[in-house]
Amino acid sequence: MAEHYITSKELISTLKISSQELITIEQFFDAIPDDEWELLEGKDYRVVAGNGLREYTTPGAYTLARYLDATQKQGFWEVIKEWFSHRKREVRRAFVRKKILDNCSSLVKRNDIFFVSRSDVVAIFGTKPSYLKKMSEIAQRAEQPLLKGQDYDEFIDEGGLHYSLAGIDKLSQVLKTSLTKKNRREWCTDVGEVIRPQVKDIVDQIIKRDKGIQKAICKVKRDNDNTCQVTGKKPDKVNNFKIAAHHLYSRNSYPHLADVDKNLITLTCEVHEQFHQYMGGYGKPCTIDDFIKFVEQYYPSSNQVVICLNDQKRVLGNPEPVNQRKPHVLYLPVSRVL
Amino acid sequence: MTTTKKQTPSAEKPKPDQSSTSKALLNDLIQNEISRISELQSVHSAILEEFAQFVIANHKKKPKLPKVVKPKPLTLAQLKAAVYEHFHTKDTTALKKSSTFQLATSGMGKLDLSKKDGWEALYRKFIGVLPGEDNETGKGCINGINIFKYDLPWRAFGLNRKTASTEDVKSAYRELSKIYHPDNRETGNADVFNRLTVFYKSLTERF
Repeated sequence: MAEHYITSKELISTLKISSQELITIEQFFDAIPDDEWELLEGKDYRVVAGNGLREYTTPGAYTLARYLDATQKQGFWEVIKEWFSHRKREVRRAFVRKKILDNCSSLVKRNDIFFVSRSDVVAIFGTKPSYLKKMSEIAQRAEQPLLKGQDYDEFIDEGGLHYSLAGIDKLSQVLKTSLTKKNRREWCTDVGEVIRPQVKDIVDQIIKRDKGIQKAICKVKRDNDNTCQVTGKKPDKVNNFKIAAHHLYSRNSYPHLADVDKNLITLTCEVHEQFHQYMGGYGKPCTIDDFIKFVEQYYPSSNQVVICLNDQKRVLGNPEPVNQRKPHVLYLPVSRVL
Repeated sequence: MTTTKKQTPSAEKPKPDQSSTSKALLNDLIQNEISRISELQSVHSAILEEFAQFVIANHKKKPKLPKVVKPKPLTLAQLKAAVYEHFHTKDTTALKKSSTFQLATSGMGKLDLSKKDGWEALYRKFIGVLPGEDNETGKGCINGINIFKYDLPWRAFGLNRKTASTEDVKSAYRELSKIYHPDNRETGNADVFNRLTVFYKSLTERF
């Protein structure tokens, strides 16, 4: 785990001292080198601003708390120790949450239950497939064992065995009692405790993102007066047709651009379908260059659109497509989690 | 205890068991039957006479049944307290807001927390067996446990989870299938059989 720093602001609030008191203590520590009270830059703290503002490492903050206990606030140490242990747990949980976020792309909801693939569960626990198998077998022997359909299931269309969040929780209980190393035990316990709130937050974010895409689509249609940018056609009461919002950089390959207005163009459904047929189907990835070529080839008179598209291309930069085999969980289609 | 007093024979009445001294006179019908059985089964007639005396003395006596003490069901407050503790929350509002609770119960269907049933369902799922439900009988109850209310397959199969082999699980499933398979017109039940099949698959899964 990377070193986590505690800001001065957070520290004064926890140690219940004023900012001036902290500055005085820091000056005291720096004044006499090689005495009992020592704070080392790089080890105990780092300077984050030109005015000497510091951020403390856990050992550095411990030293300050010990000093306060010894010199000013008797019995303060026990209270502060509890805070440090709580904070340490919070920091560890933040890392566990990050691990879940980065290894949850298989997340899928079936029968109102969220499932994650075996390989993702292996990564989240930071273990090996063979060890997870062993733990699953131990969990099978529990009074309330892993139940098919509730705690795990086999999804052929999703590539095999998946564990539900309840199943992950049960595995975490087994790992908690089986592991011998304290840090590993703590990690696996935390997985069981944070997996549900973390998945809830992830799902909320996926839903929020989808709403953002719908909002961008509505905005582009409204801004373009519900008119096809290639043909200039607009539906009316006699000639009624639907206008589609096309993602210039395809939604699946460039999910980070899916809710960007500049990545959208309004087209008649006819033109939209024609373009995707030209590309080889709706599932095929496409870029703004593909669309420019298409317009130049099939609608050569729509020169103004080509100029606009080149301008949009400039704004969008040169985006890299994501790995479609394992997209980030936040880019999952909302249909997977509803 | 009052029940013991009632069942203790009074001093006036002869003690209705084998040690009783006042023996009834056995009529000819009984005597003949004793002779017949004695000859047929090579049993000493004295034994049969003694048995006949025992029957005469005790045939009206009701067998002593162990008193069934029905455990007191948990109150709503007790149920709530147990659930709050499990989810580390203080009250129902906090519980409903807890994302851990929301996702833990997402597969349980609609939970009505305004009624005791909803809290009991939570207790069964997350805490354990409710008092009085560990020796149930009736539909869906196998080996004393309701298989639809509880996820306790080892118990339903009547096996020791620590020592049972895969073969034991298969054998237990086979025996229960004979009773609950829908093809059995008398005792078959599709829901019970399906639930038992889930239990069987879960206990024999090769992860």
